[in-house]
Amino acid sequence: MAPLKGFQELGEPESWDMAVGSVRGYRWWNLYMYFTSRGSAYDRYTGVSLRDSSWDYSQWVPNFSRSNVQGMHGGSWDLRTLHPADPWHKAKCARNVSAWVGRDPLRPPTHDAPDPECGCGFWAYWDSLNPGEFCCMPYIRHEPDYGYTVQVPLGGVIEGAGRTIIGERGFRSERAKITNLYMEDSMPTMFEEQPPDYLKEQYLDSANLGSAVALSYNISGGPMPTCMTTAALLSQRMQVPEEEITRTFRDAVSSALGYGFTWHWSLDGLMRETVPDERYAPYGRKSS
Amino acid sequence: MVKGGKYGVYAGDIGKTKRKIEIIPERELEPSEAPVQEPAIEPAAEPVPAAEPVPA
Repeated sequence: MAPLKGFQELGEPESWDMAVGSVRGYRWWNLYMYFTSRGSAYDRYTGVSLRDSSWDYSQWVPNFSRSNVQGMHGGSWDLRTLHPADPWHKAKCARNVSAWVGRDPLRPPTHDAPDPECGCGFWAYWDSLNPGEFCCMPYIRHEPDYGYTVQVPLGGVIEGAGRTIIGERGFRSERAKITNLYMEDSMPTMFEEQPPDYLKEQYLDSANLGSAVALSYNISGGPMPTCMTTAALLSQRMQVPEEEITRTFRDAVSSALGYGFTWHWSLDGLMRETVPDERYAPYGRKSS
Repeated sequence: MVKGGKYGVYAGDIGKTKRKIEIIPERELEPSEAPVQEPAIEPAAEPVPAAEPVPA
């Protein structure tokens, strides 16, 4: 049977329409945040506290310059990669991007983002912001010589423009701008404890490095579920009020993304104050 | 994650493609392309009576 006029054989539209404005959708990110202690191996490596002879592990310093916000499937959303006069993040297909050399000029993207046959472009869903469905687990890793690595999920709203593929559940667009954001800090976090470096060196020859270190220090060797939120667990370990931790997370998001969006205190607040885009959403939009 | 397509693995699954649109943000339209809005006609301002001289 011949395809309908204006549609390809698989039922996809043949050509690109033109429109003015933007589309709006919900999606998730991850904040990656680092805390180092004064006198840690990381500071010695970077020369930050060579002059500091005291080893005070009670003073934890957030490392804002290393903090960054990434999409759930990778890809950096960083203010520092944007032009000051142009607030739009622009997608390029990363199919030919190598983990070792980055973007290879000899292997440029084979198509503009997004493409119906590829997964590139900034994706967002019409009305779904369900922490149980698309959101990564919050996660803390403690390496005694380096500090804490923290991953906190962020939910929010983006505006999409440029080449845009309208799908049943959401869209993928060439350009995106974050307009609303909230931090999902009510979920219990995963926690991973690493052995100190000298123990790793001590057991370097051991064929059974992981379990030997783990047994001697009663360390699980992998991320374990906890019953505390990220801020509560860090607050307990760093002896810092929980509000300070939460505020530090927000500062890290601001330093990575800039200030062009609205913060919300909860998922309910965000869903109440943002309206799902109904112009294209009727394609299979769920009533929640 | 959804597998498919000739380019490999999909990242965000948005379902079946329904439309493909090239969307131009409103702020980037050239002045001639922007929708013309009729200027509101304001009523003529009534003449303001001159202030009376204040006796010294």
